[in-house]
Amino acid sequence: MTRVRWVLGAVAIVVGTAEAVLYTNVVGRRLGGAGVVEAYPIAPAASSLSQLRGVDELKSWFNAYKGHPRLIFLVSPT
Amino acid sequence: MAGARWAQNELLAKHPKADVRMFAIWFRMYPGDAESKWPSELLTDSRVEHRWDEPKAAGRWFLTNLSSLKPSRGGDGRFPQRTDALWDSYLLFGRNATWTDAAPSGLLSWGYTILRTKAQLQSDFEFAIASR
Repeated sequence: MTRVRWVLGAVAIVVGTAEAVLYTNVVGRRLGGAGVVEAYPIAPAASSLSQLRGVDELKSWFNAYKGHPRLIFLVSPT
Repeated sequence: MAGARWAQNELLAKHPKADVRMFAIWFRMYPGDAESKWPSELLTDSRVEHRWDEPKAAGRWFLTNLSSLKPSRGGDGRFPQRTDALWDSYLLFGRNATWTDAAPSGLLSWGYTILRTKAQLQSDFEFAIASR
């Protein structure tokens, strides 16, 4: 009985390690874990909006992302 | 709002690796508009930031200053009439654009309404994300 438990424990460790390696190399890479962003995720829908702190906040955002194309939308909710 | 849905489906979803950043500024233009009616299910992509602009500061600023920005790939030339703010509009800027004290540089194109000018936006969006 003790030997069976030992074998099962060893199998569990091997399987767990394999899962960890698989996650790190496949899922982690997909999510950018290796420093490569392959796709930008869909974020959960936010429940509320922050207030724009004037044109200065827009200007700060704009300059913070220099090096990226930037798209501004001016829209109403209906 | 239809323009935001179109952008989500046709620009962001179809270019999930593009390093574009988007700022969506929402404000009241119709009597029924309110912050509580903000469609949170739209533009949920992590590259998008949203703000509510009660005084329409951004829309007013662009309505006043847009004519001096000189888009390199074409401006729509058609402004919203009898309004106090630029709205239902997009402005697309290139990678090297910066906003100095006076105004932002590097405007590629702009359009009003978003849906009416979506062909230009799509074309210029693809140009912007491809250029390095």
